[in-house]
Formats: sequence, C-alpha cells, structure tokens
Amino acid sequence: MQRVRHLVPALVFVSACALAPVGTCALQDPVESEVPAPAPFAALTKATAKAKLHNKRVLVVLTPADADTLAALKKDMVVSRPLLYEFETAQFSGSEANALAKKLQLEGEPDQRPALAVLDTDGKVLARLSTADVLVDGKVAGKPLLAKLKPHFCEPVDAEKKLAAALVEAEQSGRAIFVRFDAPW
Amino acid sequence: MLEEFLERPVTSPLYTKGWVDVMIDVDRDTHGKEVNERLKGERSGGLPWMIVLDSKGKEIVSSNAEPKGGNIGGPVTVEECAWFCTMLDRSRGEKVSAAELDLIRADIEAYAKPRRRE
Repeated sequence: MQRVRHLVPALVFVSACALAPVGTCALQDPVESEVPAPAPFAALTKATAKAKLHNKRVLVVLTPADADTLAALKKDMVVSRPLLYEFETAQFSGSEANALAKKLQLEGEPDQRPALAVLDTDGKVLARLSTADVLVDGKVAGKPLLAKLKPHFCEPVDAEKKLAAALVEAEQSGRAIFVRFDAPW
Repeated sequence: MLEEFLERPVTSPLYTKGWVDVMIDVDRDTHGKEVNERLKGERSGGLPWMIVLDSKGKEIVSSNAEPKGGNIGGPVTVEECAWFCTMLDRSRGEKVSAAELDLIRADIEAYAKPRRRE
C-alpha cells in the first residue's frame, strides 16, 4: 500500500471531488425509501468542518449545470496551489446552488454563474465573487482572482502553541494527546 | 483517510473521550516542520505520521509499527489497522475501556476492508 506521502511538495494537484448527491429511485422498496435525504448543503457542512480542523477558509463554488468550475480552478496554474493550501471547497449547481446563492446573498441570476463566496468557519461571508471575477474570456482569471482571494487567507497557527494548549487540555481532562502530522498535498 | 475514519459515528465519540486530537500541518503551520522533526527524530516514514503523548508530553507510542518500525500512515492493511489499535490500546488509560476499543477495532476493519487492494 502506498499511502504514506513523503516530504516533497506535489507540483500538480489533481482533484478528486465527489459531490454527487445521492439519488432516489421510484422502484425502491419502502424500507430503502425511508433513508433520509442528504441534509441541505451537506457538502458545505463537510467543507466547514474540515476547514475548522485545518485552519482554512471555505470556498463555495456555484457552477453552471453544464460546467465544472471547481475542476477548472483546480487545474489553473495560478489558483490551484492556493486553493489546495488555503481552502476547503464545496461546489453546487442547479436548485441547490440557487438556494445557497439566496442564503449567501450572492448577486446574479442562475444564468450568471460561476459565482464564488469565501466563508469563515462560522459561516460568515467574507467575500462574494461574480462571474467577471472568476472568468476572463471564458478562462479562469488566474492572477486577478488570486488577488481577490488572498486577503481572506487564514493567518497561520503556531504548531508549538497548538501542542502547548493540547498539553494543558490533556492534563485537565486526564486524556492522552493524539498528534497527527500531515500536509495539504 | 484517517481523518475520515475518525469522524465515523462509532469511533468519533470514543476517540474524543480518550484523546486530545492535535492536527499539525507541516507545511502551513508555523513551526510545524520543526515540531514534526523534534518528535519524530530519526525514525522513518513520510506523512501522515502520528504520535501519542501523555499529558507531560512524553511519548507513549508512534505510528512506526513495532518491531520493524515502518510508519503505518493512514491505516488500511490488516497490519496497519492492528498497529493503529495497538497505539490506541497503549494510550487509552482509563477513559476508554477494552470493550470500547473493540468497537473501534471493528469499526476500522469495516472502514478499511473495502479499501484494501489485496
């Protein structure tokens, strides 16, 4: 098994995003049909939890139904690395995107997509980006887009302080400390 | 992979009950790499790498599986999962019972088995 990564930064980030909603089937038996539907904006909830753990922001991507804006962002030479290092992402399209756009007060109609929103882990919207901010001539607006995202990166946290806080918590609660080292790549 | 496992409904509350979780990003966290190097020392292995400390900061066990010393990383194989459970067993103290550890053991098997290549 080759899952242990070594300390060589990856040059290319290949996305492996699985945001497909669970479908339902008219021929399902009654028991299966009682399985609850995914919670609204489940991908956003998941991204927010991960962002909290990794000290990142959440990037909400509202994409047109016939496009994969997130994949395009992850392939862009300028944006891909900051996206991997600084954001947990959640992409939406269709009616879910429309509902989320309303909730986040993202400007534009459903046909004016893509649109992005940067959120903190409390769900506060830090930035709203329109199609013009994301695309230029149909392509990802690399540098200008990064310039708009950069002010919203999280401040780095100090690993020594994390460990010190964990020692205090462990002492108070009588637990051990499970330290996990990892990297965005 | 481990992150996803630790969020499972069976394991998550038991893990929280027994351990203070600390995630250190060696690339993004200030002093992340230094802390990693200090705690890991000369041991082999890349990332993810794990270590369990007591409340005084003394090492109890690491993800370098005994006796060979290879880093298990995100546990998937039978051997890796067994060592991960050994890590928990050695460090669980009185907060998590042996029966509760068995629940985690069963949970990681259920999680890891479909992900094995063999």
